[in-house]
Amino acid sequence: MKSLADEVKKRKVSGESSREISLALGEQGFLQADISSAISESAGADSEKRKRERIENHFFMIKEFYDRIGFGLASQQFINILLMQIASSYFIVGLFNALKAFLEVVMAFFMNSYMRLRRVPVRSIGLAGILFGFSLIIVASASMFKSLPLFLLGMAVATISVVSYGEPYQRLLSSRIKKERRSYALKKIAYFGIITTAVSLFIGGRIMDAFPESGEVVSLSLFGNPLSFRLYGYLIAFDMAAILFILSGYALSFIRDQGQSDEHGGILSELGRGFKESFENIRAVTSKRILLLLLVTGAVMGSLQTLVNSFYGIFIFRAFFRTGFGGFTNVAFIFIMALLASLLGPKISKMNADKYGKFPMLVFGTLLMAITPLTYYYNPTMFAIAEATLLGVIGSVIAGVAQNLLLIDLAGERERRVFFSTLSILVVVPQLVIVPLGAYLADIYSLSLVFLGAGIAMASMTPLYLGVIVLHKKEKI
Amino acid sequence: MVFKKGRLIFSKRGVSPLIATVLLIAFAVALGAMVMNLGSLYADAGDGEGIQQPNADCSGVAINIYRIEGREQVFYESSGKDIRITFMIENSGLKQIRGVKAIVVGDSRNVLTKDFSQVVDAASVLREALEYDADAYGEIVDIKFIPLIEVAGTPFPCQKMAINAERLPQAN
Repeated sequence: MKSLADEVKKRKVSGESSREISLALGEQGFLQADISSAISESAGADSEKRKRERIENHFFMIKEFYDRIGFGLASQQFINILLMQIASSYFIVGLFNALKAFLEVVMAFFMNSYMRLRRVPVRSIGLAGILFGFSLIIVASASMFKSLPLFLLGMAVATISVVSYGEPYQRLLSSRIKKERRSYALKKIAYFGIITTAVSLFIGGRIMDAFPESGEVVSLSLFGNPLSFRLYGYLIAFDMAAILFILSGYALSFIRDQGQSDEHGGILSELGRGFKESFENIRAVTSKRILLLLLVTGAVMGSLQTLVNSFYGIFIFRAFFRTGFGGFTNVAFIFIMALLASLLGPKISKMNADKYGKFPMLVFGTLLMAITPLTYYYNPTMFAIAEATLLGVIGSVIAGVAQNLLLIDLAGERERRVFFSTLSILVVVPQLVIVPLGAYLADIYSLSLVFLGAGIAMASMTPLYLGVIVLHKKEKI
Repeated sequence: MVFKKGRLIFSKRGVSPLIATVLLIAFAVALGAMVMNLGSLYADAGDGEGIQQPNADCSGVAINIYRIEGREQVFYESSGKDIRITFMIENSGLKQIRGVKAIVVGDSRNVLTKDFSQVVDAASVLREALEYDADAYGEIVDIKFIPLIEVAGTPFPCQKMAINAERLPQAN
């Protein structure tokens, strides 16, 4: 009977109708009653699977939606501004951002090694989400008490939990619902998610401007007793984000765990193997001159981007506090432009990469990225900064897509995977030097000068790319 | 590009990578130059918000916050809610200025503005202090200094030459 059920399942997967299966199996000599029972059993299993997929689609969607709102309300730019208000030092903000990036890489490395050995239970992913929510409450409270150690503790927990939440979640989603079985909203989450984040970023900015840092006194009468307290905008926005992340983690708990975790050796030996493999990968990738160049420029550009991104929000907040929509809303406005621009970038890049070639597009993207910090130095007005941000984001997407297309030509699939994993590890090294150093220079001289330096450094990657084009001018790359 | 049966069609051969790069670099530089000058014509001789001002010549006017051992000389001393901000502004331009306008923004979005009218020659330093009420204005978020020049007998702020204090440490 089992073999009959398997046969029915196999034929269903290959797209045969129940009637066709029944006829074919009847010809093979199976009893009609057995065939009918196997077909109805299989149909029951199918409808059960569909029902489960519908429910899971629903909960995944809730989770994605809550997460996107949460990331908008507690945007990294807002976090940097709050840190600056506590620490009053660019160096601390820079160091914090560099260490955060380092911690993210270490955690991602650890999680990937762990996931190679064991399946992360759905409950644990949900718990990591809940922990991330609570860590935001710690960050908001630290801002209220002006406590730097508490703020850093909250952000360390947030970084660890967000990686432990994000990496296994992506794997869970792709393993549970195939792309073609996802609901329309879940399929298009990249677009809807950006729009949702943009709206919540704006709402977060408005809330923080409506209730300033010193707090807005609110007076109420509770059962005839006068009650007054202070409301802080960042506390409201971050607590809202925290609640959404907690709910999002809770939504995951409705997704049923499947199968048992397979044990394949110890985590320490896997980490050691991962390290060894990474070093071998670095050696393999750096043996090709062109890949080495892409790796070095990618790592330097990544570090410079981290440096300037750490301070864009702070600069906008301070320079335009009185003008436009208000301090935090101005920051939100500029970064909404960036989010919307990221929707356009891939299309522009793919359209032009065929016409102009990949290396020229890489050079173009890099130069567009350099425009943003240079505009902060030469023409720090809201309108110019908004335009420059737009160009910078489009440039960064163009450079990214061009790099991917270039790697498709230059390396095989395994080599490409190795390249990206090596880049994600290697970028940490210059980041740990460039970001705190740039931040220290901002403390000694000025932030504007750091933007100028970063812009010039980004633009100076161009001659390196030009050299490669000259070297390879015989083949169109 | 070639003509075929009266129709203009594009040749499949693209431009060489080197020429494409040069073209794209030129395009990026043009875009950058445009963005970096965006709005500057409009803001010239204006108050920074597009409102036209009397024709004033701010060329050669520049100020800096005076630095000692690399530290900007803007400090605060507080006694309760009263804050005293002390600053040293250097006339780093080529012209004499008629003082500076200080703008202090508090986080309650209230703004304290005060003019310090005093002739400061080129390469000279102005040292002044400003009383700030933290209860009325909230915590200090930003401090800006705008050089003043004389136009038609009245002080005129050269907005484009304004500078912001990077930080506001407590006086030792």
